[in-house]
Amino acid sequence: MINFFHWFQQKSWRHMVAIICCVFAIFPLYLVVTASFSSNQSLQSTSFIPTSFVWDNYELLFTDPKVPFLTWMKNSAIIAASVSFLSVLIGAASAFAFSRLRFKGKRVGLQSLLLVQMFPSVLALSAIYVIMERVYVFAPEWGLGTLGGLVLVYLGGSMGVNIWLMKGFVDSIPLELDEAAKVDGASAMQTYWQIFVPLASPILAVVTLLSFIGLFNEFILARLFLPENEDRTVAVGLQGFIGGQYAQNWGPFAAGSILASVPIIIVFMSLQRYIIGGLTAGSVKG
Amino acid sequence: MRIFRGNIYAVIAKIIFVTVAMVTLGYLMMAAFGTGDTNIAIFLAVCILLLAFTYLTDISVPLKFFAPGLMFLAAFVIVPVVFTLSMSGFKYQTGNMLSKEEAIKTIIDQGTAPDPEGTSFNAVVGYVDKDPNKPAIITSKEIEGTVDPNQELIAFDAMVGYYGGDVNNIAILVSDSYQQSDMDYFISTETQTVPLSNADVTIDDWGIAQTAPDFKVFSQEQTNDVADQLLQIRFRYDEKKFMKLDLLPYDGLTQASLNTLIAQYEYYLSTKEERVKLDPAQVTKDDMGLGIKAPGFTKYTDKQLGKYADKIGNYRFAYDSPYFIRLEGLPVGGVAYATVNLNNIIYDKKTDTFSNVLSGASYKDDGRGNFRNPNDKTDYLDPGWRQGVWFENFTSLFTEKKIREPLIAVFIWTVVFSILTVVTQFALGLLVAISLDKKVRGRNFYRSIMILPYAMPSIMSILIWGGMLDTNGAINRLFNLDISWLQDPTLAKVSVLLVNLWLGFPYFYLICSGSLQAIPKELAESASIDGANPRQIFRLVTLPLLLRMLTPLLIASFAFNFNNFNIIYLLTGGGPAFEFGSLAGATDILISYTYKLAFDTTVQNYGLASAISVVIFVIVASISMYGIRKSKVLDDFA
Repeated sequence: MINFFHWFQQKSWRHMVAIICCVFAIFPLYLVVTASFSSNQSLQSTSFIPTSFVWDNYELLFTDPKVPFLTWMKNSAIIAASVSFLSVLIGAASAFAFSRLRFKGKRVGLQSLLLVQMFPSVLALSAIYVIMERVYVFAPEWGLGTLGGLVLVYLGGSMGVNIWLMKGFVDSIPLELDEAAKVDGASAMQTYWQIFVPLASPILAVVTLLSFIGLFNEFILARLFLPENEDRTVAVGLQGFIGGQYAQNWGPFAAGSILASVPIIIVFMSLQRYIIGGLTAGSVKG
Repeated sequence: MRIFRGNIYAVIAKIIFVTVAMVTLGYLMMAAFGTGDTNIAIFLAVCILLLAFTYLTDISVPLKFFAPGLMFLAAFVIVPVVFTLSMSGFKYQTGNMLSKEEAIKTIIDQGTAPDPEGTSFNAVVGYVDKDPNKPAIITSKEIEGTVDPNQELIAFDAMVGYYGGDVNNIAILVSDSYQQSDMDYFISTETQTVPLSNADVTIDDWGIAQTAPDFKVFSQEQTNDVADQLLQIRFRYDEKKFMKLDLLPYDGLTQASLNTLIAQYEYYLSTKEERVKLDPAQVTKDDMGLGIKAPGFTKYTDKQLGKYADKIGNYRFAYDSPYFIRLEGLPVGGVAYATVNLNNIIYDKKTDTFSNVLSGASYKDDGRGNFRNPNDKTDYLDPGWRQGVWFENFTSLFTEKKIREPLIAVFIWTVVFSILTVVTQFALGLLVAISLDKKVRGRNFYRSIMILPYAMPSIMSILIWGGMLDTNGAINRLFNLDISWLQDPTLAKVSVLLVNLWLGFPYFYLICSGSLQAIPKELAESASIDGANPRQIFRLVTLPLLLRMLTPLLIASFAFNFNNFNIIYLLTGGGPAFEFGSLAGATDILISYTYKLAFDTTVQNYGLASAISVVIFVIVASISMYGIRKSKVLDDFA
C-alpha cells in the first residue's frame, strides 16, 4: 500500500499530465481522420465514435477533374524541393564565410542580415508582385503565375533564415580541422568544398528538410502568385475546399490534409533527433 | 594575372558555373531592355559585373562565398523592403496609385465627354487591311427617311390651329370626309396623333370638324405669323406616315395630304485615322438594316474579340474632329453600342494645369496628389498619383482619431498576444518536459504523440481548428454547447491563444527537455544536500538556469509571434470587427491589420500600411537586438 502511494506521488502525476496533453494534441487530428472517412461534408460530427466509413473523399481527390490533387502535390513537392535544395546550396557558402572567414564588416553584415529578415514581409508582397509582373513580360517562364517565378522569390526569402541557421551549425564544427587544412596550404574555397561540405552534409540535409517543411506551409505568396487551379500548391488548393463562404467541403479537405501531411510527419518523426538538435541551435518553426 | 588556378576539375566547374550564370543573366538583361524594363535590366547588369569581378579576379575571397546569396537577397528581400520604406513617405492609396506621368496620361485618356447631341450608333466591330491590329467599325445611322414617291394620293380636310392651349404647338384638326382611313376625325401635331370620336367634334354642313377639345383654330393674324413654316411641318399620322399641308389655310381650312417615309441608313467606316462614307450599295446589311460587311472590312470572330478586347475597348475611331467614336462596353455578337465623344479635359504642359473645355473649370496640382479645382475643393480629377508627403503617414498614426483608435487597440492586443503565447507555450512545454524528465514508462510513446501538432503542416491544422471552433463546428456539437467561439471578441482571443498553444507547446517541450538534460545534475544534488526541497530546487536553481539558456529562443518566439500572420488570418481573419464595417477586429495583430489595410479593403492604403510596417519593424528589431546583445550571440566577432 505504501508502495502504491509512493508510486502515485512519484510517477502518476507525470502520466496524468502526459495523457491530458496527448489528448489535447491528438483531438483535432482524430477529428480530421474521422471527417476524412465521413460521408457528411462537415466537421460537425455529433459523436466521438465515427458513424460512417467511406472512401468517397479520397476517391474525389483522385477522380474529380476540378480537383487536380496529384498536380497540387507535385507542384508543392517541386517548389519545396528545388527551393530548399538551392537555398541550402547557396546559403551554406555564406554561412561558412560568416562562421570561418575573417573580413571587414562581418558583424555589420550579420546584423543587417538579421534585421532585414525581421522586416514584416507582408507589405513587401506588393513590391514583389510588381517586379514579377514585369519579369513575366520579358521572361514569361520566370514571372508571375509560374512555378519558376515563385521558386525565385522563395529563394530570396529563405536566404536569411537559412544562413543564420547554418551558421549556428557551422560554429559547432571544430576549428582544428580547417586550421589543419590551412596549414597544408588549402585556399578558403578548397577548405569549403573538401573539408566543410563533406563534414557538414548531415547538417545540411536537416536544414534542407526544415526548409522543405517550412515551404510546404507557405500560403500567402503561393496564393497570390499562382491563381490558376492547375498551378496551385497543395495548401492553397485544399484551402479552396473550405475557403468558400457558403459551401465548405470538410471531407475532401480532411482527406487531402492527411495525404499531404503524412509524408511530412513520417520524415519528421524519423529524423526528430537531428531536427531537435537544429531547433536548439536557434530556429523557430514558421 | 592568373585568372584560373587550382585543381583542374575545380577550374572547369568554375568556368561552367560562371559562364552559365553570366549567359543566363545576360540573356535576361537583353530581354528586359527590349521591353523597356530598364530598372530590372540595370540590376541584372550589376549582377553580371559582380559575378565577373568576384570569380574572375581575386579582389575579395569572402565575396566568392556571398555573391549568389547576395543577389537573391537583394532582388527579393532588400528591394521590396526599400520599396516599402520609401512608400511610407507617400500618399499611396486607391485613387493615388500611379506616378504623376501615368496619372496625367490616364486623365487625358479618360477626360472625355459625349457630344452635345448625344450621338450614338450601333457599330459592327472588325478590322481593315486583313490586319486584326487595325480595328475598324461600320456605323449605321438611321437618317431621316425619304418620302415614298409611290404613296397613293390621299388628302384630308384640315383646320389649322394649336393644341393643348399652347400657341406654339401647331396642330391640325383632320376630317376624313372621304372615308379613306379608319379614323373619322383626329388631331395631329408634329409628335402626336389624337383620335376623336364624333361626339368630341362639331361639324359643319360639309362634314368638316370645326371645333374639338383643347384645339383652337388660328385667327388669320396667327396664321400669318407662322405662314413661313406652316407648309414645312410634318404632322404625325402614324409611325411611318405624316401629313403636309398642300396650301396655306383660308379661314382656317386647308387640305393635308398623306406621305409615307422609307427608313434609310447612312454607313460609315471608321478607322483610327479616317471616317469614310460607304456607298450603301456596297454594304451588306442584316435584318435590322445594320451594315455588317463592306469591301476591305473583316468582322472579328468571337475568339479575336476576346483577344483584342483590351485594345478595342480603349480604341478611338475617327469622327468629325475633334470628336471621336468610342465603344461603350464589349461587343455582343460583333455589335457594340458606340458613342461620339471629345476630349473635354485638356492638359497644358507649361502650367501643369488641366482645364475642362465644357465647364471652363481649371484644375491645378494641389500638392496632395491630385489635380483639384481651386474654386471648388471637392472637385478633382481621378486618378491622382503617389505624392510624397514626408512623415504624414507616421504622424497620422497619432493624430487622426480614426486611425489611432483601432491602431492602439490592435497594438495592445499584439503585445498581449505575443507575450501570452510565449508564456503559455513555454509553461505547458516545460510542464510536460518536467513530467517526462525521469524515466517514465511510455515516454517515447507520449513524445511521438505530442510531437504530432508540431510535425503537421500548420496551415492545415489552423484551418481545421477554425472548422472545429465554428458555431456549427465539432466542439459545440460534441460537447453540446452553443458558444460562438470566433464571433465573441473575448472568446475569439481565447481561441486564438488556445490554438497557438496547441501549435507551439510541442516545440517548447522539445526545447525544454533538451535543455533540462544539459543542466548539470550536481547543482540539484548539492542544493538537496543543503536541505532544499524539490520545489525550491526548481524555483531557485533549475528555472533561472533554464531561463538564461532559453532567453534567445523566447525572444525569437516573441518576435515570430509578433508577426504571426497565418494564425490570425486563417483562424479568425482578425475578426470579429470592432464595430460593424470597421476594418480592424478584436483579434487583429499589427501584421494582419496591415495586410487588410493594404489588400483586403476597397480603399487600399499602401502608404499607411507601409508606415505601420516600419513601426512594427522598429519594435521587433529593437526587441530582438536587445535579446541578441543579452545572449551575446554576436560577441565572438567583436
